[in-house]
Amino acid sequence: MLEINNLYVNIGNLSIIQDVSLKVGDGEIVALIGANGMGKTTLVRALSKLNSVKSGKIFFKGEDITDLSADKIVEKGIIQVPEGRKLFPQMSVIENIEMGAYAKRARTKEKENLEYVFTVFPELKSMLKQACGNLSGGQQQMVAIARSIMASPELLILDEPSIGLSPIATQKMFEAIELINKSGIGILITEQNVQQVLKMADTAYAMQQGKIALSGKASDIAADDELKKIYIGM
Amino acid sequence: MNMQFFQAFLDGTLMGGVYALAALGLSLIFGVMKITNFAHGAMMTVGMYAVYVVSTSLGISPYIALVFAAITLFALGYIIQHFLIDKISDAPTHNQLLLTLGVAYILENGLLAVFSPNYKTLNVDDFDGAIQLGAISISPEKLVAFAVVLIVTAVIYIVLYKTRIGKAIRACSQNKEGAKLMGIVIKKTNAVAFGIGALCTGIAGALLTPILSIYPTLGETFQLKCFVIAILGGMGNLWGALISGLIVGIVESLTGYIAGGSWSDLTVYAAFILILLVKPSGLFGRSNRREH
Repeated sequence: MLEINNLYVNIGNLSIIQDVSLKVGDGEIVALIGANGMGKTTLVRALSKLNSVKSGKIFFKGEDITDLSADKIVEKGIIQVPEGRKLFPQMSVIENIEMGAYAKRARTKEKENLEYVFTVFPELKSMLKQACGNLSGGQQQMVAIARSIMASPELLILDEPSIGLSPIATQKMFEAIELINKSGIGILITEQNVQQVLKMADTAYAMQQGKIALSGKASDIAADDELKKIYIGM
Repeated sequence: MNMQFFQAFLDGTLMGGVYALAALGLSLIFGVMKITNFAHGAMMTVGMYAVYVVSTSLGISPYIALVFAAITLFALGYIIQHFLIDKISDAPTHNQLLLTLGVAYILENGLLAVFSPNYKTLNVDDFDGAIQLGAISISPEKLVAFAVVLIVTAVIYIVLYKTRIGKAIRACSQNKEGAKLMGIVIKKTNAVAFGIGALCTGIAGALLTPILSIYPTLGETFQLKCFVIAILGGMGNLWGALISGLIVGIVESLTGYIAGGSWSDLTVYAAFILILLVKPSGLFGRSNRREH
């Protein structure tokens, strides 16, 4: 559903992403792995148009979306849960979740999506009135994912969702992501928690210095100790 | 407590309400765009002249002309943000701030060119004399002004907390990128927020027109006052701006009663500096804690 061809992204005068090509098939989970500072976040930010693209093309369901603005990308159904979550700290949990349904594409399905949110994260029901700024990291991550579900994603981008989370919270979050994927939503996930994400993903791409250094079936990469050592440093 | 003291307290509260509304607009603009609108005072003056012109030329009550001023100022704010400030939204904030200063001079000098620097006074015949409550006398203009402030504030609260665009404005002020990722068009929310901020100061100006004699540079005094109130309230904190507005109005009026009118500004600004020394983020400001 998503196809990136020879993408270059600059930040200021620095060339951060160089000649990256990547595919996410329908309903697939694709992991983008690699150490910190290798360009994973810059790449996914460019997909949501928080960074601008220098050259290359991005296609979504066959349509060229390279030049669309951030809000148009959302209307296409590409929704991102960003690194650091970027919630609205002074708004309550329910207000944050409802903001997810701001996009036109999601307005008519608001009720249905909210019910789905509660089946994925039943815990959220008991904290709807709390201000988001006061929640723990794991709880905030739940709200961030819930907010993105409200936007009716076809492709969900998750940028470092396990950062700052306890092992238990991380485990629960991975389970939630698999559940969301089972409902037919494609997932592009960047992770430093390589071991765990490779277990869940169909395909994996390893980034090094802004380039794709390695790609293949996630299970193959997970099984190949030599590859892991070279490209992922574990 | 003697009656004159109470009288001064009451006058200060009523005027403070008007200051609070103008400062609310400044604080809202800062909260969303992170820029200080240096054209806020000049916009207030535009609101005053809008009421003056409509009221005198159509022969209608300034409180009806106020609606016209509100619409004009909303449009003016929307246009300034959409066609000017937004064009340089990637520039450093001090450049955006200078742009608002430029707008202030254009508005002021435009008013000077059209209306001359002479004082203009609106004759209001909506009321007959002050309202007497025992030894206390209340100016009906100030009382109505306060009532209108309450209504406008309530409407702005409903817009910001209950409507789609209002929630989007609040979301932008709390996390711009988070808002973008939800499909909110920042350009639009910014323009509406600036429009609402301008509307606040325009209505405040409109409410002062029956009370004061107006002239093109009158807004400058209020610009500084709004700035002080918004900072005291914690820039971007709307409730803080409202309460600080009342406090400044009361301090001003009580100082005038106790020590004479010429001490009013001195006391207000001295108190402002003292409060900032003790609490640099303002009375109701959040500390600079980073959200995560």
